[in-house]
Parts: sequence; C-alpha cells; structure tokens
Amino acid sequence: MPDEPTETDLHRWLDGELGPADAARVEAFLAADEPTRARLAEYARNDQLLRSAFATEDEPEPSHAIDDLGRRLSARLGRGRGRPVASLLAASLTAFVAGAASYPFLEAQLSWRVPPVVEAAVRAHDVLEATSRVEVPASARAELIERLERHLGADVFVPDLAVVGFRLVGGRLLVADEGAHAQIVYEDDQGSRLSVYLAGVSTIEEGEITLVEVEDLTAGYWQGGTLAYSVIADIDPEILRQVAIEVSAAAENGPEG
Amino acid sequence: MGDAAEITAHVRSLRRYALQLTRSRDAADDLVQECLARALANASTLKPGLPVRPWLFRILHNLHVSEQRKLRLRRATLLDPAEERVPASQDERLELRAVLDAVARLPDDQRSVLHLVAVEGMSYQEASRILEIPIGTLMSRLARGRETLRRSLQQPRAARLQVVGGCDAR
Repeated sequence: MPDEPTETDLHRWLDGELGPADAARVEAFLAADEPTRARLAEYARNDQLLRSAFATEDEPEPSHAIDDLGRRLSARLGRGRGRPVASLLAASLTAFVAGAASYPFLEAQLSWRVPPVVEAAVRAHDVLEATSRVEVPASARAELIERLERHLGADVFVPDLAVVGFRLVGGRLLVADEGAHAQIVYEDDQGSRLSVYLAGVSTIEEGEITLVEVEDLTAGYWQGGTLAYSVIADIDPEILRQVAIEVSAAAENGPEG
Repeated sequence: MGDAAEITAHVRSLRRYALQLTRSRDAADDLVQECLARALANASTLKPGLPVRPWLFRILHNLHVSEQRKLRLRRATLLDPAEERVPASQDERLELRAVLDAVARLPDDQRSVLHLVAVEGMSYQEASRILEIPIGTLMSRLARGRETLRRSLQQPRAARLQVVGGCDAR
C-alpha cells in the first residue's frame, strides 16, 4: 500500500501544484483507495460547476466608466513597461551568471514593468543622446572613479569593454531621490552610445540579469551587491547580452588594473 | 496593444471575482470601478518585476474587505450568475444554482480562496499573494472550503429522503 498522502497533498495534486514525483505518489495511492478517489472527483466536479456558473459568455458589457479606467490604466502601465527579449537569450544569461535566481520570464510572458531605476537609466541615456555631454572625460579615468565612488558610497570600477567593441567616453553623476546615480558612457566605431548606469539601491532581485526592450532601446539590468546595474543601448540584444555579461563578470571579479 | 488586451482580460477576471465576493452585479461593478481608479492612482507603486494581475486582485480584495467592515449589515440583492446563462438545461441550471448557493454560504475567506484557485485557475502562490496569507493557510482554507461545499451539496438529497421516509411512516 503506498504512503497515504496528506489532505493538503491531495488538493495540491488536484490543482497541479505537485512535482512529477509527488504527483506519481498521490496517483499510486488513489489507484488503491476508491473512497478518496471518489471524494476528489466530487471536488473536481464542484470546481467545474463553479467555473460553468461563472462562464463569461453572457457577461454584460462593462460600463463606460470601467472601460475608460481600464484603457487609462493600460496606457499608464504601458509607459514604464519593458517587453522581454526572447526568453532563450535570458536563459543563457542566467545560466552564465553564477548564483542566478529563478526569474520571472516564464511567469510573465507578456510584459512587466521595469524597475524605476531602469526607467531612470533609460531617461538618462535619452538625455545623453540628445546632449552628448559627459562631465568627466575618459582621459581622467582615475578622477571619474574617485568621484563616482565618493557619491555612490560603494566601490565603483569602470570596465574595459574593448572586447565587445566599445571604448570609454566618460561619465557623469545624476541626482535622484534616494541619492546619486552614475552614468558611464561608451561608444563604438559607428558612434553608437552605450550607458552603464549605477545606482545605490536594491530594487532588483539579486543575482538575476534581465534583458528587455524599452521603447527603441535594449536594456539589461541586475543587482550586484549594493548597486543596481543597468546597461542601455540602441543595439542588438545579443551584443547587449555580451556587454552585460562582461560588466557583471568584471564587477564580481573586482576592479581590474 | 498587448497591454490593452492584457488589462481587458484582467478586468473580466476582476468582475467575476467581484461578483463572487459581492453576489450583486451592481456592487461588483462598483467594486471593480473603484479598484481600477485606485490602481490608476497608484500605478507607480506597482513593484518592479511583479505581474499586474495579482496586484489588481489584491487592490480589489482589500477594497472589498474594508467595505465589508463598513457595511457588514447591508446585504445587496442576491444575484445568481447562473441566471444569466440562458443555454443551460433545467437540470444544469438547478445544479449550478445549488453549487452557487452552497458557495455563498461558505465563510468569506474560504470562498475567496476557492474562487481564485478553482474559477480563476491561479497558482497557490499567486492567490496567497493576493490574499496576503501564507500558502499553508491558503491550502487549509481551500481544503475546508471544498469539503464543506461537497457535504452541503450532498445534504439536500439526504434531507429529501428523510422527509419522504417520515411521510411514509405516518
């Protein structure tokens, strides 16, 4: 006789909440226990009746007010939301980064709101594209690092992205509600800009790199220690993926020479 | 475009859940309207990385709970969602009515859990986030709700048999 599952396990089985091994254990038990099987069948049937009662075919049209609010809400939420790049890309990213946590891609297949710090990074990148101004040029690299570290209160390093085709242009400090943010700017041979954005906030799930498309840009973001990192550019997601890997790996290994 | 379709689908789910909670179409739509207005006002507080549906359901649920506290005694006119479905046969209609009446008699906390899991097909995790209860609590409410429902749907038959038996004995 198989082990008797708990009452909770029976409901989890009914609702598809058990993994394959536990589900098989419950099924083996049910095969040998007619009364429990019949009881679960009643639960399932009642659930089904309940669903039928709420079937939506004849649901009255929502009021004008509800329609209008729904439209405004979707417009409002849409503004700050990113669209995930192919989940395979993300899968290879998380596989690459040590300690990658499970991430929301599979669950949220449509889109989700990017963290406010990433929105700020995108805005900063837009402004940079419009003004092309950095405060501290690449020639003063040591000064740039010292300045960013002093304002962010954390170790900051400026990674060398030559391996992915980008050279350092410079950096600047930005003021946000919760303190200073830093934007480090790179450029490739075609003059295409890339921002590495650092903020001393912990609003992104630890250990996870997420790739999204925000408006016309591609962004990658993750939390590394006390800093939230965003990498933003108008480039192919595959290249941005390589940049994100480069930056996060450099951050984990500490400042290079 | 995707967003608009997504919100439309959520609004339909919210209306079903609100109907389950209030048992009145008018009260349900008032609740959904209030929920969407709150969501719009607080759109910037939606936590990063979190999907929209649980957030909306949580707003709706909390609004309902606080309204219940205020209007504990005022019960809106009962409305049976089964009545709105014309094509069901007489037997089906009776069965649907019976199950809805039985669900309506469940304690609020069990009814909410049952609706989110059984009708909306939510995962335990999502439902527990909406109701702001631990998954263990959710599972025990679900188990109790289903069992109470099962027993109460068996009772009418038993009661009828008793009455008939009583008549015969006399």
